[in-house]
Amino acid sequence: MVNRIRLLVAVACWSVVAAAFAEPLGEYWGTAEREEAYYTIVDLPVPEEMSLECGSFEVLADGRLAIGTRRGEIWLVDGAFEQYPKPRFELFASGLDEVLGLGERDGSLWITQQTEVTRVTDRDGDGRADQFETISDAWGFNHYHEFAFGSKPDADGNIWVALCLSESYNSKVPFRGWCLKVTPDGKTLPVCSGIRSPCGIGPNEHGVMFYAESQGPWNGSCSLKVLQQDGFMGHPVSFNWYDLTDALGPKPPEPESRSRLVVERERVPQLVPYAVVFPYIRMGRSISGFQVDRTDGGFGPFSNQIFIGDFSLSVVMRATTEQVNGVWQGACYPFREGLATGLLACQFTPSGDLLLGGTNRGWPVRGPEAYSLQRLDWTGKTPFEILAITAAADGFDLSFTLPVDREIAEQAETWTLGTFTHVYQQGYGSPEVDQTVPKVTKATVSEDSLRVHLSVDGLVKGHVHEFDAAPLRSADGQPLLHVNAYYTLNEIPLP
Amino acid sequence: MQPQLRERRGVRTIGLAVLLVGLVVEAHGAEGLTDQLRQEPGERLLADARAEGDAVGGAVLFANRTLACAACHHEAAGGRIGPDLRQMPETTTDQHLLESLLYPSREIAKGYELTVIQTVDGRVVAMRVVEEADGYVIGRDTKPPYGRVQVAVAEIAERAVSSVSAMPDGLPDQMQSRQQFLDILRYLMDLRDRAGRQPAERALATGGELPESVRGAVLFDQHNCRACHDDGRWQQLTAGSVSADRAPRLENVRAWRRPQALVRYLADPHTAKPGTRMPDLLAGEPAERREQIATELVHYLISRGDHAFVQSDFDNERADRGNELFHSVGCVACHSPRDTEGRDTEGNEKLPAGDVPLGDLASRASLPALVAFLEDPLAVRPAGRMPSMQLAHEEAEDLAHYLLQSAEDRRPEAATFAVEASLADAGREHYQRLQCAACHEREATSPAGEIPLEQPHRGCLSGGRGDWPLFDLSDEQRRLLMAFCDQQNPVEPQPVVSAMATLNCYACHQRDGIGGIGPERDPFFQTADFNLGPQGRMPPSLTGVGNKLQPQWLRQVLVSGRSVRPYMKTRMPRFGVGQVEPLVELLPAMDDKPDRAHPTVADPKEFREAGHTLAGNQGLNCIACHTFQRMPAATMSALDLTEMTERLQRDWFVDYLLSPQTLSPGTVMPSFWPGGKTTRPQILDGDTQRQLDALWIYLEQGRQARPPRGLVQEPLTVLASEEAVMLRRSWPGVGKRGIGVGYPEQVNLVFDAEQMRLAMLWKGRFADPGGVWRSQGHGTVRPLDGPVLTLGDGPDLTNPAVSWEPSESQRRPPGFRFAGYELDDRRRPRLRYVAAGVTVEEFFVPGADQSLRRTVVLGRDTLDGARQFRLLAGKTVEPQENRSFVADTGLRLNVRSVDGLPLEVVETVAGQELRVTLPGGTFGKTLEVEYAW
Repeated sequence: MVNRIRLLVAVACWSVVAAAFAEPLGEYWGTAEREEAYYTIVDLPVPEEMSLECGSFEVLADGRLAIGTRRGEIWLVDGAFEQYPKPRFELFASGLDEVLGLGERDGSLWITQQTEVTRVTDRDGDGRADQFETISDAWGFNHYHEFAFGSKPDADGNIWVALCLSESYNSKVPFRGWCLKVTPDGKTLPVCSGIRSPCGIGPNEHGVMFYAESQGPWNGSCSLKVLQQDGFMGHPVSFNWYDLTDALGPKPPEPESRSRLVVERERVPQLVPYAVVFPYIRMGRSISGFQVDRTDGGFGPFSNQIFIGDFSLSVVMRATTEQVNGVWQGACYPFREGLATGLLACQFTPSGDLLLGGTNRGWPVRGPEAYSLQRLDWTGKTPFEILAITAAADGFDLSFTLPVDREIAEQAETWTLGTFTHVYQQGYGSPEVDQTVPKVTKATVSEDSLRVHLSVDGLVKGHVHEFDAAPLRSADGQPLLHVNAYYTLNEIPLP
Repeated sequence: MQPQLRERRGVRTIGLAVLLVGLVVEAHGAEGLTDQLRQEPGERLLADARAEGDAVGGAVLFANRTLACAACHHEAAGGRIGPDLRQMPETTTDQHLLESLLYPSREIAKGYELTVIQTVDGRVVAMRVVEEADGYVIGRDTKPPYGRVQVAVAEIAERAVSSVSAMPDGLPDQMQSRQQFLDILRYLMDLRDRAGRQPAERALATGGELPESVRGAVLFDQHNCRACHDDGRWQQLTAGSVSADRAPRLENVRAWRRPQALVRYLADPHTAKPGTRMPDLLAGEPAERREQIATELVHYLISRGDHAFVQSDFDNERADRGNELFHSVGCVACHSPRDTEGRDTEGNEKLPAGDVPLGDLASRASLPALVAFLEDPLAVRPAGRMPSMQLAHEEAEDLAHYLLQSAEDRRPEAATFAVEASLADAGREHYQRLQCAACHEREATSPAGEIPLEQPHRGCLSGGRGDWPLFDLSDEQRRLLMAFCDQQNPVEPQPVVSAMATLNCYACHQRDGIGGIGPERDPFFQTADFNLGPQGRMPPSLTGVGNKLQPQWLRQVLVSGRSVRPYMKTRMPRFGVGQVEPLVELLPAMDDKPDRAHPTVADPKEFREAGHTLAGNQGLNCIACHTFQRMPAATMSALDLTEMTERLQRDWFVDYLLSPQTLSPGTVMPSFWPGGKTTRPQILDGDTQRQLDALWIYLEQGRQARPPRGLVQEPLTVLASEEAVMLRRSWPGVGKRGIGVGYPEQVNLVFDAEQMRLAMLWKGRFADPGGVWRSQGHGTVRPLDGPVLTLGDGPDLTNPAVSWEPSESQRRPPGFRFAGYELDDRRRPRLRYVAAGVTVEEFFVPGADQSLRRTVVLGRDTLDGARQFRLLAGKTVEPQENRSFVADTGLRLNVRSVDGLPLEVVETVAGQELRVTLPGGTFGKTLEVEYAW
């Protein structure tokens, strides 16, 4: 009987997957040819006999690269950062379970795998790990989709673990859907509830811990969210675990389905709205691992911004965040398309390049390779891009990587804005709804021509504001490499 | 493989007659299938072939390397060795086909006799003679790789036509079964039946000539006549589409060129580099002045750069790899092959068919600059005359080592060059006076010069020296240019043809009967998969390509050099976007055929299912030859099915499936709907149109299409050899926190780190992780051998005072946690966990007899009450002699030491368990037991 139920569940899962497969993955941005002049995709050759399903990266103190894989290996790699990479792979550990978090601290690798957070050490110095200390396994694990994504150790050595739900609609074993903070001495402290299906976790550019959430129930689109202490991330099915601990305070009130986030925030004080929405398909379908560019210009003009991959569309995007009226929000921008496989992890290298890896196993992926390890190298040329968007009381401030053509930039017609939001609901995903068209009343260009202030009539709190600046030109006549950007306006700054 | 004469030394004294016999003996295999088949009645073989023969299987065999039928029977440069089997006369009977296979020498098709030649120096060459011209006998070698051979008539000592066929006797001996013979026979019948319906086009043969006007326009562009002359006619003819020729940028000439070589070049370019398109601008100057002006120019050019010329060491091994690359990736599509064949007696390039000369590259270029150029030629030649061959950095280095290898001899010359300001100043004046910038600096898009073309027979084209640049033109080239410039000749726009000629696409591709690979170059088009036949090595025909490829895909091929044929060693080059972008628009516009309507399918699911069946081994077995989701098929690596609909237009796809040979004459793919009728009547009522729709709709799912039946996935295994191996994943009956350990002694266990128990034991190989390493990972790891013995459920260490039952959300007892493991020097884990206050360590060591010793160390923790530790479980557990116990599962437990603690067999819900009881207080006990089964 048990077996029959298992079989039925397996068949049911499979048909859900099959139905999803039939969807087209969506249009290309069509910018790959131009992007290539600024950011080159470099393949890192991997020995043919290896099946390298990268799930996490770390740059070690000794200058080597460490790779954690979906197949449960940890590889140490020499030569991955050279201009013409000739990586040499050495197996440091194997037999682990989906290494989706990896960081070095105190001479050990602190990894997050499905089952636990583990400290992995090579005590005898022979190049292979021989000690695996379980730091915490204080969560249930009873379904393969119960993925665990772990951060690198934060400043205090804590590892933040985002626990995927049992499936989209359930939380069957403890703390599925919660974020737990694991301290170096093995304490496990709840952070927040309401997670659905994380696929990346780490600090934003201000050092505050965020995670990448996927589109699905209670999530109209993929988004970056802040892991706010005692917060509720939006999916209420994990409320049952408030019975096991009072660490997060009382159980929040249930949100209402088929509502709006901006409305439910008023009713559910713990509810944390998505900080940066990645509009579905236009900006990925399964955003994944991310990291902040701390290369100090080594990777081009985007220092201190978040770079994030997408599993389905094999693209890399940028994001910026800011706190307005105490709430995190920000924008995302297209960056580079045409990577070879489904991206799971990214890592800036000491030489200022962005390493990207993943696998196209299990879910629909645009990139054709079963797995790949690639690098984005900046060519030294500066693309003409929207550098960042921040909110202002009467509109937005935009900055650019190159001086803009003042005459074009000052015309209000150069700027096309639209807004929308999602239905906040139990059903899977959401269409974009409540569209409005705000009007740019005035565009003011800074003296150095690198910034433009847009005065906007018709800002909508809680909506994604979509920018199209196709007519804009740089001072030397170039069009924008990417004309779109998307700002999630949870809060309008006070004047 | 270079085209060269096959040599056999030491046969000088042996007569040809003996050799002919030798050939026969060599070909005749040992007694085998051939003899068996010869003894069978022919009628039976023919009837069986008609009834049971599989034409598709035959097509695959026809092309594969063992039989290599296609090597001789398909069109290739230098002609075929055997007759074209796609053009069999209608009168060919089944009986005739059978005889040809079993007795190839009984009847040799006229014109396909084997000729054996002995040369004056004793070499023996066997070939099918294709032509005799210019004092050479030219033909196809009858041995692998079946290349083109030629022998000078003057060198022939003896020559004879053999009565033995070039087709080996006893060919069926190379087959694996009678069935394979029937398959081939059936395929030949198919070919015969389809003969006559073949198109006239020959995709692989060299096609017709380019129109003269286009050749003139290309020369006009190549020599950059546009820099000085009105290019109205050129614009008209090409529709302004593609211009590929601009002189290189000179900014970095200092790093590029040896100064002395550059002086020689500028003083007399046509001697220094025959065939160069650089005009001699000093032709009107007296000889001694030329050298002086050239020197001054070089001082000026060198003064502009800031990177000095670098000397490099050369590496022969790298040069060898470079040689291989040069002659395989496609360099020799435009440049002369660089072996003795490609050069004349002085070692100069032969330049067949207007090759782009490399000249004496080694004497002038620097290694780093050449590497940089090969990696990104467009940086130096932005107009794209030299495309990128998609070389990795390493490959560019190898190639540069090869091309510059002989530069070592010239080393002393380079180091001694210092720019003199006065010379450089004079050089600048020459640079301006001679208008060097007109070719070297002006952008391709800048307006053309204004000198009218009224008197083409004067000036540059006169062949005389004067106040004009002197070009190194042949009489033929001069004639073509004059005709092109002649205002009397009307100009007909030929944008595609001129663009393809300008970019030299025709060197590799044929389109509308023009272009394709000539016999001299044929050997350099190589494949990594011989089973694919000529299609495996020949770039595809571009006839109708605008109707074939999806626009987005066409763009990616042209702009990014996207390629789907990993087996083809020749690479699709990458031109600059500006160069090929016009073709992206032009080709579909030129080839435009209205799209046919395709029915909207009411139930796409039914069609997807049918398509899935058709692709699999219960249907047409497409995956027997085609790659699927990057998994190559067993027989050959034909194009990936999951990329078909993204790449191809639907009409073309349908047409191709109905008659592959029509669109691709060299293909080994048979038609599965011969005469438009299905060969699989049981699928979709045998409706051809619906079957074609079904395949398309199924493949439209791309990489997400469900793998067809019969697709064999590579097995995944994790095995213990020298050391222990572990696998922490879901194990059957254990759950997600299973820890499998395989020991080199071929003893394996699974420890359950959720409930803290020894859960499974088996002997033999360790594990197949396919269930968790494939798809999303929803399965379990599978033990590779068996039988698998399971031990009890629930934790091994229990507190008799506390009753606890697992629930769906809580399979782990309260207070339990896993603590990790350490590996010893043979990678064997010592597992640790905490069981409600008790620290437990466990260690396992297999014995030589494949028993397993288990050591359990209970930490020195102080506890309130007693605990029990389970050692064995089953429906029954029977005590035996010598402190042994046997469970009904067949597992025997031998107690080595339990630190004086009491053992008892306890009744449980599931049966019986052997437990050792630990009293309360301070622990610190070690249990040692041995499992045997």
